[in-house]
Amino acid sequence: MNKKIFGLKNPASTLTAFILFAVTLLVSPMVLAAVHNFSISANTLPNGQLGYALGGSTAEAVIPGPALFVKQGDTVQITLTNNTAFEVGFSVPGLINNNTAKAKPGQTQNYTVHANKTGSFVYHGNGKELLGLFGALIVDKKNAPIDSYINDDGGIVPVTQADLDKQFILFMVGSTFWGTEISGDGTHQKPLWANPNLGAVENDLVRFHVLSVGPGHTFHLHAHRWLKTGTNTVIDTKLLDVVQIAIHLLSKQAVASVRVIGNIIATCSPTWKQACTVVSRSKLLVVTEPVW
Amino acid sequence: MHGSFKVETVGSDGASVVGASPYGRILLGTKDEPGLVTFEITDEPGSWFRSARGDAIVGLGAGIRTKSLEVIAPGSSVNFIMSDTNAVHTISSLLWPTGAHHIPSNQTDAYRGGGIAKLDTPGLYVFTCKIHPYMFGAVIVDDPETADSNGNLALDLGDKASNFKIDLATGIKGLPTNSDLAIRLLKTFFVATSPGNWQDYSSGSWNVKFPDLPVVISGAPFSTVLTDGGFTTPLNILDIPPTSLPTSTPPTVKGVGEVWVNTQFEKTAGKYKAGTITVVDTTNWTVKRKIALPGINMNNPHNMWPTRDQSVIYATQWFDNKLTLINRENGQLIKNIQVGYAPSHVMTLPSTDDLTIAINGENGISVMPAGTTTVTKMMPTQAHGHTSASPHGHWVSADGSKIITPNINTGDVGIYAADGDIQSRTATGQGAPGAHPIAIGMMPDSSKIYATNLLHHSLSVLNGHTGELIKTINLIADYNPITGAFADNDGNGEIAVGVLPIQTPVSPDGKAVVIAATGGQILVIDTATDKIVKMFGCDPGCHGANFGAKKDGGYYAYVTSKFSNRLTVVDVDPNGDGDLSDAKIAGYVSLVDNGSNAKDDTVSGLPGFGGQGVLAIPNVYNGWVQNLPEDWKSGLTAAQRDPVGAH
Repeated sequence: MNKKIFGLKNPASTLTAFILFAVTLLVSPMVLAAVHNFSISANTLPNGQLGYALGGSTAEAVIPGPALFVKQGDTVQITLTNNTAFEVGFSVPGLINNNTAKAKPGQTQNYTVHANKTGSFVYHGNGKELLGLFGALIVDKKNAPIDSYINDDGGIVPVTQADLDKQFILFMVGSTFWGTEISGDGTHQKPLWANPNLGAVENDLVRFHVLSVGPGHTFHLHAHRWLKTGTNTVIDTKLLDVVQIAIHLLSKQAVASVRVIGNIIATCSPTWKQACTVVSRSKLLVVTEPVW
Repeated sequence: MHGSFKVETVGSDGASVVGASPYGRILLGTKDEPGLVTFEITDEPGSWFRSARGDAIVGLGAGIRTKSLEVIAPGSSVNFIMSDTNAVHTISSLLWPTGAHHIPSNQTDAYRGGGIAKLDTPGLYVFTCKIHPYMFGAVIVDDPETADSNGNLALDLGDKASNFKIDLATGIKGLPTNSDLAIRLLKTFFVATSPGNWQDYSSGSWNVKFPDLPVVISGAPFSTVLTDGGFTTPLNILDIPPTSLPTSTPPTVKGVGEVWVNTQFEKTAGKYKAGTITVVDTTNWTVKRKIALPGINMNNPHNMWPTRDQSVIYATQWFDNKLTLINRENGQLIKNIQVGYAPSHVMTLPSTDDLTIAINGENGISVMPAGTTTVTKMMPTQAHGHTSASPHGHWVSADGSKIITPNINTGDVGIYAADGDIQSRTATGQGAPGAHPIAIGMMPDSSKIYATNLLHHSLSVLNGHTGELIKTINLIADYNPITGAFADNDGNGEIAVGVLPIQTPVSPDGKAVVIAATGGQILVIDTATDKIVKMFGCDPGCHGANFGAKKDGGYYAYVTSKFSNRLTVVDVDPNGDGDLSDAKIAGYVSLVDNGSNAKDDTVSGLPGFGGQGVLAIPNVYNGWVQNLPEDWKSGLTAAQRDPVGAH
C-alpha cells in the first residue's frame, strides 16, 4: 500500500514533532503529560478552497488538515500562520482553548489547547471551515489500551496503538466525505480527498474517526430513495441534526459485524460497496449504493 | 455523501482509491489526478453559486465577469457547499450534455448541506436551485483534445459524440448548442451571474461582455445546419457593445398613493446581506424612501402585502427564514419574525386580514392572525406523507375563502380552503417534467385562476372554484427555438412571446392579465378571450407585476426587473373604454437613490437593482379595496372602490 508521508517540507520542525510522539509512546506510562508543539499554516489551494498544512508556507495544505495524535493530559501548542486572504483561527470545541482570536491575513497567532478528555475532536478555523479549514485532534488514553471492539462471540477485545493496521479520518461536510488514510501508528498520513473509496483487507484492525463540520448536516444518497421515518413518504434527502460529533469505530473481520463503543452502537457488514453513514448521535445506518 | 468501504480477501492489497483533489485536473490545477472544483452557495446577487476561487476567475480578465463558471477535465468532480446562505436550496441540473453520466442531479426537498457530482462527459453543465430558479452555477467539462484553429483550448459546450447537443430539465433532449434557445440560455447565464452585464439606467450606458474564450458548439450560431466535429467560435461574438440607455420618462397621468418595490439586490453600507425596499411616490414619480433595515441584516426582501388599514407592510426575506413587519408611514422596523425557510409571498385574507405566508423552502402556508405577530400554524400544501409542494407565489380569492398556490416541486396548482383543507390539486405544464408553476393571478369574481409555468413558458387557465384546467396558453408558440424567428404561428393576430413567465396579476376590474416574463417581455392577455393581445419589451430579468390605481380612473400595472434599476408602468387601457388594443407602456421610473429621498442606510452597490416583488398602496384589488380606511378611499373613483360592482 502506498504510504505517502504528508507535507514534509520543513523536516526540522516535523521531526521535532515526531520525536515528541515517539518519546510519548516508548516511555513508561507513569511519565508526566507531554507538551506538543505544532507549526501549522493556513493556505489557499488551487481550486480556491482553504486548508491547513503542517509546516511552513511551502508545506502542502490538505483537507482534512493534518491529524494530530496526543494523549489525555497533554498540552497542545499551535503556532498558526495565515497565508490566506481571510481571518483564520484555531478552535477545538469540546476541549479547553486559551485563545479565541483569529490571525489576520499574513499574521501568526498562538493557541494552547488542553487535551483533558479522550476522543476525536474537530479542530477548525473559526470561520471558513466549510471551505476546508478543519482537521482531527485525537486524544487517546495515556495508558494502553486506547480502544476496544466487540468480537463475534460478544467478547470485548482491547486494542493498543500497535495492534492497528490502519486508520481513516472521515469528515462529513455538506454532502461530501473528506478522508485521510493513516498508518496504524499515526505517523504516515495520505490525503484521500473528496468521496474516496476506502479499502482494507479481511482481518485488518481498522480504526475510523468520523467527524462532521457545519450545521444542519444533510444525508443525500445519490440515485437512491428511501422512506422518511415513520411515513410512506419517499425521500432522497434528509437533514441531520448532527453538529461536530466524532465517533470511533473499529472493524475487524471483513464479513463480521462492526461494533462501536461509546456514543455509537452500530452494525455494519462490510461487503462489496457498502458505506457506513452516521445519521444521528446514537445510530449508525448501513446503506448500499451502486458504483458510478 | 458518497463513499464506500471495500474489504478484500487476504492477499489483496486493500488499497484505498483516492477521491477528487483540489490540486487535480481542473483549469490551472497542478497535479495529474482527479480534480475538484467547489462552489459556495450564497445569498449574493449574481454570485449565488460562487466558485471558491471566483475572485481569481474574474481577475483573469479575458472578458470574464462571472464568478459562477468553472472548467474541469473529464473525470473530475464539482462540489457544492451551502456555506454563505441563510436559506435552504436544492442543487438541480438545468441543462447538461446529451449522454452525460451521473446527471441530472436533483433532490426531493430543499435542504441546507451540499452536493457533489463526478462529471465524465465533456460539455456544459448548468446547475440551479428549484426554490430560487435564477441561481445558476456552470461547469464546462473540457476535453483537452479540442482546440481552435490557433491551437488554443476550445471549451466544449457538449460532447463530440452527441454533436455537442444538450438536454434540458424540462424534457427537451438533443437541443443543438448553436440553436437560438441554447444561445438564449447561455446569455441568460452570463447576464444573471454577472452584475457588470446588468442595465444600469443611472449610468446611461449598457454593455454585455461575454468571455473572450473559444467554445465548440453544434454548428454555426442560429443555423439549422450542424457541423461535423463541431463549430468553434469565440463566445464574445455575443457581446453587446456599449449602448446608450434612455433616461426614464414617467407616465403623464399620475398614479394614486405609493408603489413599494423590493429592490432585492441593492447593497447598503451598514449590512452584509443584500436588499432594500424602494418606495415610489406616484404623485410625482420619484423615489421617496429606501428601507434597508441594516439592524436586522434584512436579506433579499422578495414580496409584500399591507394590513387592511395600509399602516403595516409585511415583507418576506426569501433567502432567509424571516417575515418583517414595517411601519408604512415612516419605514421603520416593527418586528422581525422567524417563519419557515425561504418564505416567498405574503397575502392577507381580505375577509379577516389574517396573513398567509407561502413557505417556499418547505411544504405549507403559514398563518399569522390579524393584529398579531405570532404564526399560529402551518397549513400543509400536500397530504401527509406526500412530496413537499414548495409553494411560491400564491393568491387569495376576493372573498377570502380560498388560497391558491403554484406548487413548484410537484408541478401543480393547489386550491386550499382558508382553514387549510386541500380542495384540489391540478397538474399544469401538460405533463412536461419540471414545468415549475410559479405565480397565480385571479379574476376579481374568482371565476378563473391564471398560473404561469416558468420553465414551460405557458399560462394555465383554471376554473376558480373547482380547479379544473380550462386551457393552457403556449406563450412561445410564435417562437422558433432553432432560428429564433418570431412569427404569428398561433394565428391570434399578434406576434407575441413570453419566455420564462413569472408574475401574472389580473387587473382589479378583471379585464386583463399582465405577465412579466423574465426572458424580457411583458404580455397582456384579454380575459374575455384568454388570448394574448399585446407584447412589450421588458428589461432583463423582468419579474414582478401588480396593479395600482391610476388618478381619476383606471389602473396601472407596475412591472419590475431584476437586472435593471427602473420600474416599468403599463397601462392596459389608456382611454378606459374597455378595449385593450390601446394598451401601452405609459412610462418608466428610476429606482435609484436620488440623494434627497429618506433612507436608513447608504447605498454601496448595485443601485436600485433586483426588482421583484411590487405592491401599490392603497391596495385596490377587489375584496381588499372595500376595506380601505376612508382617507385612502377618498383618492379613488367610485369604480375603483368597487371594481366589479354595478356602476
